[in-house]
Amino acid sequence: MRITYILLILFTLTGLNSCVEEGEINTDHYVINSFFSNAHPFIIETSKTASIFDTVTYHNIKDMEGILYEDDQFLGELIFQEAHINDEYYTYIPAGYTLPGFNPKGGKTYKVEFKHDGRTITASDIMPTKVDFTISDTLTTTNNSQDKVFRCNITFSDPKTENNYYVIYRTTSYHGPESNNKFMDGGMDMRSSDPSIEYIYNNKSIISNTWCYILSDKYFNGIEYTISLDFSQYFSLPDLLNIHLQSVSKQYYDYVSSSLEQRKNNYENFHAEATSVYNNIENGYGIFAAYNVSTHSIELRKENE
Amino acid sequence: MNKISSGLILFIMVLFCFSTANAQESPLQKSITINCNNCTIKEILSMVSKQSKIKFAYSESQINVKQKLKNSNFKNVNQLLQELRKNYNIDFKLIGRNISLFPIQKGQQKGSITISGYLEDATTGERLIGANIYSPKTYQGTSTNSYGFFSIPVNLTINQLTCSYVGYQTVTIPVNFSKDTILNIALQPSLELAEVTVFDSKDEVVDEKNPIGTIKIPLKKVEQLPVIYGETDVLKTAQLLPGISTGSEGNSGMHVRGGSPDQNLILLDGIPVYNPNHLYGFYSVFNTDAIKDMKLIKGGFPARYGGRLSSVVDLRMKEGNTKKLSGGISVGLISSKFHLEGPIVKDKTSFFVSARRTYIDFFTNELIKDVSDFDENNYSFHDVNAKINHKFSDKHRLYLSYYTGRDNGDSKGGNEDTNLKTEDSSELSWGNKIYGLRWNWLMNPNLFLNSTLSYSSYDYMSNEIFKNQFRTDANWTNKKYSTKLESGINIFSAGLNFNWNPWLKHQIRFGGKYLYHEFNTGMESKKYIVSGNENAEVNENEIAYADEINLFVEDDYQISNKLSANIGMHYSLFMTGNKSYSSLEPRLSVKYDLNNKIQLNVGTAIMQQYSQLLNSSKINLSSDIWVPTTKNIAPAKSKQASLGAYYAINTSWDFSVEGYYKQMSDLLEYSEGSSYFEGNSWQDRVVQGDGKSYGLEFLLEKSKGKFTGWVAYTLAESTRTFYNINSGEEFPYKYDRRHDLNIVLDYKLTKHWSVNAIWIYKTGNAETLGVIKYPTIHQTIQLGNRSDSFDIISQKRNDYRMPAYHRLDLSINWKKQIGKLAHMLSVGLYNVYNQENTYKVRLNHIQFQDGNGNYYNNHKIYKESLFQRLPSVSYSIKF
Repeated sequence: MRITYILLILFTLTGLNSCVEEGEINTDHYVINSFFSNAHPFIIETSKTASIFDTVTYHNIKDMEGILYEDDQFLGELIFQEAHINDEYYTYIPAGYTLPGFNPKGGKTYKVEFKHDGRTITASDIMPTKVDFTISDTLTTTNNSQDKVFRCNITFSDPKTENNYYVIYRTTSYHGPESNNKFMDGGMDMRSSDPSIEYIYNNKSIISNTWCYILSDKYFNGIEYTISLDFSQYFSLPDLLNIHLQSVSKQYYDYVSSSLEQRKNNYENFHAEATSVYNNIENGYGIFAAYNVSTHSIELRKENE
Repeated sequence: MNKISSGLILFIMVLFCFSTANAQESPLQKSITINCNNCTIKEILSMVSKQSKIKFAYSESQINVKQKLKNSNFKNVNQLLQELRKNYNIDFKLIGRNISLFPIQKGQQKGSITISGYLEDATTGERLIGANIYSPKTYQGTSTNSYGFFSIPVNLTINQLTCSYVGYQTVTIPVNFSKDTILNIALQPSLELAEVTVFDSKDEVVDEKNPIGTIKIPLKKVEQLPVIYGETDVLKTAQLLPGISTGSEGNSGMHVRGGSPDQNLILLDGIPVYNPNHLYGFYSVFNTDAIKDMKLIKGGFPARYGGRLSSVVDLRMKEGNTKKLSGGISVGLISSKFHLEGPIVKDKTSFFVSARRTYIDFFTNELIKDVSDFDENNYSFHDVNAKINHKFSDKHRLYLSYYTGRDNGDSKGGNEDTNLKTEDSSELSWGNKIYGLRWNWLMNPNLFLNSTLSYSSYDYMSNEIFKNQFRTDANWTNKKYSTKLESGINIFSAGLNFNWNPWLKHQIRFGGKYLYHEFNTGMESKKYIVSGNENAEVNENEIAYADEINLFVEDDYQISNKLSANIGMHYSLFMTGNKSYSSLEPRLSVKYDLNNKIQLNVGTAIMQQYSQLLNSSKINLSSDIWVPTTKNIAPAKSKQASLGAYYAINTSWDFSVEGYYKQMSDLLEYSEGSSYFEGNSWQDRVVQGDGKSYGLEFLLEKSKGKFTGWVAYTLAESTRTFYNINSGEEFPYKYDRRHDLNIVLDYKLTKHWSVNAIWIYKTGNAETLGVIKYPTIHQTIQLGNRSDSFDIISQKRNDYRMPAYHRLDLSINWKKQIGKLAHMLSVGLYNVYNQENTYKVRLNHIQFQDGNGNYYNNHKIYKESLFQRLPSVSYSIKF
């Protein structure tokens, strides 16, 4: 009888549900997203978080009060603008808050402050200094598949005194009357096997539709560094190949790298623990980070002639 | 009310029911009526015996039963016995329905002598650990230590000693000595070896020292139980016991009472092993053929142990057969092993050697080639155990132990075209090494000294070389980039441990140890060479040195026939750089025999840990590094209290229940987003926080008969709180398991055939998955809005509970002695009903389009499993 009693108690205990107490999920958080630079339109997107299982389309919150500061000095009140095509860059500009005439300068700290429904959401970042580069040793060759490959080296000097982070990507342009040298995606693949590249993002990336390489200076801190890049043609040969070297802030790098890690760990790395995406929004979620772009263009048709 | 509270109430109810139920049936409560004035004790005992059917056993030479009892007004047997104890100096012990009477011992008896010596296996000469030696008259005695040594002060009136050990024939030997004597006793193994106990079985006539939280791992069982790929593993068997939980599936990492694997002090012949894992933890480094004894302590730690928060796993290697040459060979699916032992000089010097190697590389090389870019892949692991011992005399014995184990892997690959050549290669290697020299010296019959000199090391190395040559114009540019990572730990130690048994009621241990630590906490060393010019070399390994001193004293004190305690104090001093930390750690475990069937235990311990393992993955990566306490990193601490009850249902069935509460502080973790592979000091990438765990553990065991086995169930909760993780909010420990149930069954079909079954059910791991999402940035630098934009998932640490894990494993074993050879064939099936247990969950992004062409994003949880149904076979021959 006692054994029966013991077993009964044991199985009563095992019958307790295997569960974790789930608290109420608070999805009411503000989201602020902006990468701002010296070269591209300044836009801050705003929205709210949602439950992971909700089907949502995020919408900007249009009635927020936003202020931008430079080194703690008031720069101006942000205004909301709808999505539109930017003539200068031939680019779709998403809806969001902007400050007309804003031109961030290297070394300055920019802080944004939004107020809505009694809540204040802030974020800040330092604009990195521009890192220029040169293009050398251009060569047209073929790869194993006998595709035409345009090869060049880019060389830049990494500033000694600080940790620096970079994004390299390419765009193409056509001289035709419609495109008028505007940057476009497509036209050429970009490849590099340089060992300093930490993240390769080949398409539809967080930061660009184009192929991107993301790296830090931990392998070449304070020295002049050369990276060899291969470009292969997959549509009609563009007139211009534009190579962009972005000097990005640490917050930019952390956000992009952790976003990529989150995806990689979620989909590829079987044993890895989940990764949290870097977030620098106080009292909210998202990213507010700066980059400084250097661009050089190569006349491909001339190179091929 | 939460489930833990419900469990605690149930626990108290269980205890109450047991006590009540047993009290009603106890012979002590038998009503008696005595009508006799001025009767002698002998006469009254005779009357009581007739009325109650209880037999009294006593020696008239020890007890004066002719004296008259002044009071004879007793309602029950217990009142009579209490009167005898209080006023007539006569104690009693209940043995089944019989009662033994004996004089109360008062400290050291005048005219006593000390009998000391060793207990060993009569066929192999192996010393027996934890065997019992006691007087059959008084039932008081002692047990052998880790070297098979015992020392027992006996009254000159005692003329017999009984020696017993599970799996061996009990012997009673005459001790007609008039002076201190060294006595070496050999026990014959039982012919019937089915009596395998998990919990040290409480024999009806033996008052064993069985401290709270201590489990003896059934090594005989280990080789019979079904395991993945048929590779037997002592640590995986330990995971089937209450309070010890697994990490991820297939992993031999142990999470004891909510602690992490680095909180287990794993000792091989008393020497710490820092990485007990082969193949990322899917196998332990311990070859079962080489292990003689394994004990696991998870609470109420004796003072002789220190330096870890959660458990002590004390493994002892076989010493070598001193009588004859013997050995064995075993062939399994993934590895083969052999062992050989025998005398070098009969009864004086013996050796033991075993070796194991996998042949995974022979199978997987081609497979990996097919699924990866690598042209060449190799992975294997091996280990070697060796031991020599020499007996100089009955008083002096020397042991030399050696262990080495290593995992090796390498791969090569590359691409080449007319203008570009790439070549990459990688090497990976990790392993432990242990040397131990021990000298046992019986200084006098009461005083035993074990002196130890030891060295333990663990090292890890990975080296990746990437060569890149490209041509522009006619010139080739050569780049070579190499990443080398080395880490490890070296420990030298020297220690003295004394066993001093001056009185029958006290077994005193004291001693000290000095340890010299060398931590290589590693750092990626990178070289970047362009056309012969070395441009950069970044980071040197961080090496840290530390000195540690441990002192301890403890006493196994038999306070009364029913009450005993292990009382101790452990002191540690850790000095690193200019900083030192010290800790005074009181230890106490108390055992009270409520009657001969029920034992109550209580234990408490404070522990401090000076080195921790930084882990960044769900498997035990070899690159996980041991890091020391530094001036910035405080040692981890824990306080644990436990309370338990043990109930011998009958001679075959035992039941125990234990509750515990443990608080931990200054635990170490990587800060959010950090990992090992970064170029700054590890100290800049870690955070310290607290943890707590509490739970109830139940064990029902059947240890005798054709059908044996156990049911182990744990109800527990374990959490962590780190200031910089999860916004400072408490989160569940990754391997927090509310329920953990293991049923292990062994049925002996015939003399040669037996079947084993294991069924495991446990709450799923806590995983970081994410409960809220928000949009990733939409601003591309050109060309607008992406239709496939991914959401960013905001994750709270361990915010998702995986589905419960369960599986059934079966094995059938055939054993037969043919001539001089003992054959064993084991065929097993892992995960019999092919349960797809979740190893990993991930959120998959899904996108769909509505009728208006609008795209919508959503997420779905996908579950991935690792091991499904897997057969195994192993065959071994022993001679």
